[in-house]
Amino acid sequence: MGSTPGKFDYLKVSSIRDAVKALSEVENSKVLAGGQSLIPLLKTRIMTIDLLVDIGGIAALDSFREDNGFIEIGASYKVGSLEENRSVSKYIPALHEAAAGIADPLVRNMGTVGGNLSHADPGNDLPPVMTALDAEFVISGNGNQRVEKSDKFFQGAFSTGLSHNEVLTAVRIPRNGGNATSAFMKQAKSSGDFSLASVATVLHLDDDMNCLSSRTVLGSIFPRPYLMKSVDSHLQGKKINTGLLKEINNIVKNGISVESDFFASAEYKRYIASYLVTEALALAYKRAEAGLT
Amino acid sequence: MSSITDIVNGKGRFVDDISFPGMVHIAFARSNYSRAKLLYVKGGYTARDFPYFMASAGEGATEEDLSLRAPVLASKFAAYLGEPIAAVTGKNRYEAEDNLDSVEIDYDPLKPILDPVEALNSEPVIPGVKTNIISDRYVGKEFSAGEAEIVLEDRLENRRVATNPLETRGIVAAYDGTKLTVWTPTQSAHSVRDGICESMNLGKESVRVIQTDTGGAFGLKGGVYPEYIVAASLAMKLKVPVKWIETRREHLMASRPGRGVVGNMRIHAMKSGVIKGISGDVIVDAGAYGGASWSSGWIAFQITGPYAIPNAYFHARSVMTNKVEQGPYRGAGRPEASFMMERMIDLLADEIGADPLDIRLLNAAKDKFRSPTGMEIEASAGFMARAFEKMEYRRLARESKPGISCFALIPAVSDGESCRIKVERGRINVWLGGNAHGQRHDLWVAKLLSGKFGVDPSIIELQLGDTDMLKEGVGSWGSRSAIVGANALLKVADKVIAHVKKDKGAYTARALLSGDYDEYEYANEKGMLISFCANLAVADADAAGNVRVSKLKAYYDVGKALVPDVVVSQIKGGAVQGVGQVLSENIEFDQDGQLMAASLSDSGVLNSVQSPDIDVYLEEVPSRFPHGAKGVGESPTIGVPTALVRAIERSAGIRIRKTPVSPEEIVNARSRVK
Ligand SMILES: Cc1cc2nc3c(=O)[nH]c(=O)nc-3n(C[C@H](O)[C@H](O)[C@H](O)COP(=O)(O)OP(=O)(O)OC[C@H]3O[C@@H](n4cnc5c(N)ncnc54)[C@H](O)[C@@H]3O)c2cc1C
Repeated sequence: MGSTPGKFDYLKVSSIRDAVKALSEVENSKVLAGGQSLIPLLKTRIMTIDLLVDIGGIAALDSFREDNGFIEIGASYKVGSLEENRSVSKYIPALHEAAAGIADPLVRNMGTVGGNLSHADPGNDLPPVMTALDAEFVISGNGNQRVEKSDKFFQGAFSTGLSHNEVLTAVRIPRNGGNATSAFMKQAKSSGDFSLASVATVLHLDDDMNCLSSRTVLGSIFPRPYLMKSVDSHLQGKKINTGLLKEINNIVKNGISVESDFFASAEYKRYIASYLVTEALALAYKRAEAGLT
Repeated sequence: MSSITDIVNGKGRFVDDISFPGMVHIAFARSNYSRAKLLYVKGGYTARDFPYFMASAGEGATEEDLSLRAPVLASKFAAYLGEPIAAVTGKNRYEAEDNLDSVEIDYDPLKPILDPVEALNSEPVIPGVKTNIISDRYVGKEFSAGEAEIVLEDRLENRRVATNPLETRGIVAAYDGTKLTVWTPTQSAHSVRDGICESMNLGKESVRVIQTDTGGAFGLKGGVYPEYIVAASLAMKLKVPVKWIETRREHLMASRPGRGVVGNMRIHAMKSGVIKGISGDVIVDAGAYGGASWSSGWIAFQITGPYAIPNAYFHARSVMTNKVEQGPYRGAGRPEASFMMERMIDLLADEIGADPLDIRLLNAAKDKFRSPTGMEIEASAGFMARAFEKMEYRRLARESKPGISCFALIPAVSDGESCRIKVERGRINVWLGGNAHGQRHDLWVAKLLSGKFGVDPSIIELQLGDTDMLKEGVGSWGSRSAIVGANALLKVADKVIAHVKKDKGAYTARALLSGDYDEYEYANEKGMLISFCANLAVADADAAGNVRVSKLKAYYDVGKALVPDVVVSQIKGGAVQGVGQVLSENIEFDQDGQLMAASLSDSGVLNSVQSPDIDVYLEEVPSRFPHGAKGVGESPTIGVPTALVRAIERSAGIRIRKTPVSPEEIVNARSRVK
């Protein structure tokens, strides 16, 4: 019962082109980013690999750029940097909260935004936030670049729209215009810190504090982030208050079909999902009222 | 023993730091199933190479009763997930683990029996036996419910908890053609030696066990394991040094965890709150084979704790299941016993609407008391009153909902301990039979001895355990070391002083240090040394069922605190384990019998951020021993869980019957109450 990886080759590349080339040449190869998910899989020999392509040497990927229309976060930007980034905590509190709630400082200082998204672990916390933020995923492959939205990027548990020789290079978050606010909350499993359920919500409000539009996303409960359209449509045009939150709570509780597993019963999953949705909405709305965003 | 500065700076010398030229690393192929016939095993070293069995088959087993003795390597039948089946070696750990691919095992999986209550009446979990019950005793005296006005029943449970020291198990073994030398982190070098000798039928003089710096043990490292026998055998067969270091996954799967007990308890009482009796079943999840028969009777023996309960009668059984053998985990039966008593006393308090402290005071021993199981305690009422006064229970009870607990700690004093003191070239070296594994025995050794000898403590050094340097030894467990270890230390110091007097006419420190002295004594000890302890906790459970512990307090009679800082640290560390047992620690299986915890974090060990602090108050009533100390090491894992469970149940408005209690269970219980 091991604690060491099987044999593999290791290549540190300094450009995206080299990374794509190396991945194309060796069938059983993988990108190595922060290694916080990949290395444990290799060490327990749940997975064996012929070649690891370390993208940590591609300086351009460790970036954070604020544009007029977008915030662009490079794939190698650390979860810890995200946590400490003042623009993020000021303008996208949901993203700050998600980053700050991941594991411990050691993991956050190694783990990357790109790795967290590409790994597509249903228990990871950045996928639902990026989905709620309607982010774009910038992907480089053999001589071409493409951009996908979350619904194409996340395809299932540990499964994305990335082909084997493609690299996620950045995520672009459309800049929140006007009265936008957000929040993220999670319920960790009773041991460890991975989410049993998480909720990210992004609200756009008009000057009278009515919901213009929203994106409320459930993480961890399903194999991929789940955009709760019934919640968002119910919010539309309304102010968030206790009465509305009660209705939302019922919509979530009755609107999701889940199964019991080792970690939680279906009943508790429904309970915790509806609880987190209402709490996150209340928090986001409170932020808007306080003019925090 | 490495200095604390070296250990903190990463310069300790742990077993995995040992390296010899030509040393090979061992890796184990283990059962992928909790219960399976092994159709064939090919490759690696197997039971054909090392047809040994573990030493102990537990109580009641006869010498011939091999079925109950765990094989060192399974060959025909795998009785638990992770049971070692074959061993391979490699130049380094990577290569050893690569070589696991050369082992082929063909299984015929059977339905595992994981629940001890089911196992009571199920088909045997291992072949060759008629029943899974390996220990079956009635403890106490049968009594009639007669005059009791209230009888309350409940089913209580402590699920298994991994011991999880930061340093897992490990061993280095080398053989020079005549003598086998073993380096291992341990609580008792002598017990490791004896276990190896018994399994492999070797003479004690042909095996030397040397303790390495030991990074925690908590009961795990008291004895010998199948992997150690394989390492010893391989060192002798291959004639090269060998090393095995346990991975965390192996630890969670195949080392001996603690707890794992179900109690069906009945409390008999008057409406006034006076308890007339307690009775019920104690069922211990002993795991596979016969090694863990010890704890059910031991739990039953001490259930009445600090209370004067005139009637007690228990049916105590240890039952085999398809899990690794149970082992002692910090407290080892004491926390389980106290959980039964304290949960029932709180149930009674709720039933009659009494304050939990009042009902404890009412039933506390007002005088010396001998329980129906034979446990003898001093009066406990005065202690309880002082404890809750100091912890400000009454005030806290007005502003919050504290949970409280009281217990009687029974340290494993029996059989005493050994010590050797060697004075040479102006320095003093000390060996103790009980090997320190993180508790700082070195500090009380230096303090007591420098006082006794009138020398500077810096010239006194406590050595690691070594069977060649100390003739006999018991071990460090059961809250015993400062009691029996210090007792042996002072006795040997007296011998040294007498020797100096004889040599030089009178004793002076200078006379001592100018000579060479070497004295040894095994200070046997019978009887018990029971002390009283109490805890208080305040916690709240939020809407999602998450618990926040806002206050923890301990008031313990530790006798004379030999080194107060060390005593307080013992309590703080143990409190973290106590909180972990209640909130998150688990080694649970899914419905396919696969273990769901693969890491320290998965198994729910609290990290520093999650660990609440604890206010510690020491009551120092000296014990009968010359040093005055009583026990402390296990106290926090006994008293913290019970007080915390009560605090959670009061905050959430539910009844808690089991540890751990998950957020989901809190939410579900709350919705049933509503
Ligand atoms: C103890 C612990 C607790 C954790 N708790 C949480 C938690 O609560 N919430 C949470 O969200 N996460 C948690 N994580 C996971 C952590 O956030 C990881 O860092 C993250 O999942 C992976 O990021 P990484 O940079 O380490 O990627 P790696 O481990 O290097 O890679 C992960 C996978 O993504 C692929 N990959 C990485 N980068 C790219 C890229 N740019 N393009 C294409 N493919 C790529 C790799 O090939 C690999 O398959 C935890 C991790 C640990 C060790």
